[in-house]
Amino acid sequence: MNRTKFFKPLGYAGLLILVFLAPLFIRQSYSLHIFILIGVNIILACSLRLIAISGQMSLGHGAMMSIGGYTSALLVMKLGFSSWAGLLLGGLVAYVVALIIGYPFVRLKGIYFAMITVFFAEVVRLVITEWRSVTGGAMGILSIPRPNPIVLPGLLRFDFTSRVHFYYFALVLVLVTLGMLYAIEHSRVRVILLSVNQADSLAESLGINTTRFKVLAFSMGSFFAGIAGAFYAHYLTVLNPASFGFLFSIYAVIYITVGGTQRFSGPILGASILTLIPELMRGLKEYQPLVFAAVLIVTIFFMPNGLVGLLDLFKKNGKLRGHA
Amino acid sequence: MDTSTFVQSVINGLVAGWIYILVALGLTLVLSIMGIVQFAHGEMYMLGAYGAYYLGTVAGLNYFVALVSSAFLVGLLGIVIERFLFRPFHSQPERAVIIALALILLLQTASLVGFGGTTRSVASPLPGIFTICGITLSWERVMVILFSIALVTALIIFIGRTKIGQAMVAISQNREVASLQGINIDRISSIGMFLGCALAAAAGALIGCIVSVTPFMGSFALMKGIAVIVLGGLGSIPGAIIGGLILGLIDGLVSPLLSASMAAIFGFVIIILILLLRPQGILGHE
Amino acid sequence: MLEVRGLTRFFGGLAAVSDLDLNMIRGEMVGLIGPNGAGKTTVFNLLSGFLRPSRGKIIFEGKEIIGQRPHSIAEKGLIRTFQATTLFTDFTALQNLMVACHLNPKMSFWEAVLHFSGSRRKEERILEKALQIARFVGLKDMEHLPVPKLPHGYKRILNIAMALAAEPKLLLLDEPLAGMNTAEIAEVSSVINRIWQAGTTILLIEHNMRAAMSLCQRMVVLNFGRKIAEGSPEEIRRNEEVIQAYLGGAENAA
Repeated sequence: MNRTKFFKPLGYAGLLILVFLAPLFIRQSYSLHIFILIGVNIILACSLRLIAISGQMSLGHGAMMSIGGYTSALLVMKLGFSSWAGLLLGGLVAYVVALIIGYPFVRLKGIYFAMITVFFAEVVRLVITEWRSVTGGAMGILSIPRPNPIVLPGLLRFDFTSRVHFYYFALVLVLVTLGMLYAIEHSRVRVILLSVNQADSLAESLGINTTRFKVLAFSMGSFFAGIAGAFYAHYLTVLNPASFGFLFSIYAVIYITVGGTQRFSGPILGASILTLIPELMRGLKEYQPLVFAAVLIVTIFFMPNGLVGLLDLFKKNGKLRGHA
Repeated sequence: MDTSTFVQSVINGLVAGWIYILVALGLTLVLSIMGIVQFAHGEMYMLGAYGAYYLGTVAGLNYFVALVSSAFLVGLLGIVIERFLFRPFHSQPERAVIIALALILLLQTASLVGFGGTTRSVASPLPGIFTICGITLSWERVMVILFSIALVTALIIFIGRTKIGQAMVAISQNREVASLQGINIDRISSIGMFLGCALAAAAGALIGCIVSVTPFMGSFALMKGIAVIVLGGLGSIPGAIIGGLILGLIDGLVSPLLSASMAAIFGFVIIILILLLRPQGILGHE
Repeated sequence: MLEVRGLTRFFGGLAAVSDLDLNMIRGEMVGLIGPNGAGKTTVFNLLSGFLRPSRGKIIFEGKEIIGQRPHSIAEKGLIRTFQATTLFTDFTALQNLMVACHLNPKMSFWEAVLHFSGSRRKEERILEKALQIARFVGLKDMEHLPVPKLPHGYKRILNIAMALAAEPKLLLLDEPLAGMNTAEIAEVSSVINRIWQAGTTILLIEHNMRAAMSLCQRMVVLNFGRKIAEGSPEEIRRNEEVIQAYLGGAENAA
């Protein structure tokens, strides 16, 4: 037992160092791009999981990314904000929107909540398309400026002309996000969210404001989606209403379903593996959604708790035999 | 808006409305009998359009033959899907939803790969226009409206007057009691799925001569279908008809005034409000 | 402590509860009885905020509570249990109790997440309190069992224990003895008795007449949503109307 306790943090530290030093070894710009994608998808998946453990399935995560992305791009391009402020505000606007729609929305259960998030996502897309004067309509926004340079005199100069700079930016975002979500994971808040999910009448009768907690999960999850969207906007430099459509939302759901929502590492696993799959089959790019669909169906049938559920099962069977 | 444009807008609204009704009825059928929101319903609509295109326009069959055959084939596909993908999860709707999402990806991509991304159009059986009181209307729009009404009427008669239809009603009200009464739930579920998908496919085939046919046309139909059921009330056929007509007319009348997107925004905002204020819809039960 | 006047609730055209008057003073244990379908659980739902009355007043500790959400009514000290055994099935018994301590000690979101020293102490207090309650109700050696593994009687005890953890001023127990054998009934009855003796005011719905009569000082009898009798267990036992109501519904009056 003590050995594992010693090696685990060491392992994580090692992983961290590896990840930080990766750009020194990876020269290929495209590989860095993949890592950046993995990072963004991890943020998406983990934030969606927060919403999921409170018992809600949001199919509007992509719309929150759009809100974050457009907010940041517009604040930077039209009002001269710095991209850092844009990023934060992108997340905050998504948070506030989720807060406002959350209170009425979370009154709906299960499928109906999912449906209304789909409608909401559609409304967001339509509004962005209609509001041509502000958002550039269907054409979208082009040439979103790169993030403002970070200069530590003598040490480094990140002007974001190189993908490596974006890699570190994404890395920091992922670490901050995971840090915040991890703090929630190991707090009473998570226990309350799970209890609301399992038996919300019971929770309510014990004095837990179930609505407030569901909205909390929904808006915090959406905050991170907004940040991810803002990051993407500055990374891809183009944005249009279809950038983060229904497909993105479905993909996020796939990441957490395949990865599993029971453990914190589930969505990380799901997002990483599923981002890599399309890369491994680059030649057959168009068939990628088919593979995802197949993976999803296999998961639902054979691994209902996702990959982490599977790992837990192995652990249980390995340790205790005859454990009913 | 002058009279001519107004009447044309109303006709467009009716076309849209009846198509939405067809899609919604198919969706509500599946929902009532199997308890699942079949998110891939829009893809049945899309496949119906492509079926009509390939059987009719490409292979040269008579339009109506192509339409019916296409609907039939899509219905069969629906039976297969229900049997293998949905039936195992009839008691776990959350999982079924995820399966449906996977189906969307599957069918959309398969269509994109198989049919190609070029926009198609189903050749109209009744091209051309006619004039009434100085207002120009197209034959095909009128055809779509009438055919849809006919289909819906046939469905209502089927549900109201046949044993199978009554069995469907029984299952939708209380699944356990229905099976205790000796109703074969599996068989009725298959039939329900067949009809539901066939209706969506018919809608796709009908609208295929008016709008463009692409592998992605399904999501539009899904949204409208869900919007209609939510507006009109889950499991309510008259509700679906009323809801469909309301939404269709909003789309038809607001689009020329403002824009198609504004019309859609209107519609969705109304739906969201209804969901929040009266979650059971206009004619739904508690 | 509790003042209910003219409480009425319609479902469609039917009155599930009709014109109910009920008063409770601090420290008493009152039994709410009646044949199946008499509306007893509906009364609980109305009192605890899960249902909105069609008419009437509910005044708890001097304040009108109609229209408030269940969690804020619970915050004021009115705690209820549910008829079926509702528990957090993915948690252990102890974890269930710890969730039930939500109202006391209270932790804000930031306290919980940022783990200040103050919040750490609060978490320890929660654990202590949960263990204490487990001991009080007799769950001592079972607290680490996940809920599905608890014996049936103990699931009920856990239900009651969780309600206790919420520090009720008024405790509404909904059929705590349902489906139990004699030994379990004795055990749970003694727990309820202990809770009452410790000073909690209790309103008890129970079908088991013998247990209800031995625990409560006062009984209120409902039939078809209306109060048909009120009084001491002795008086109720002899009341003609009550006997008729139960026989009419083919009930077993123990």
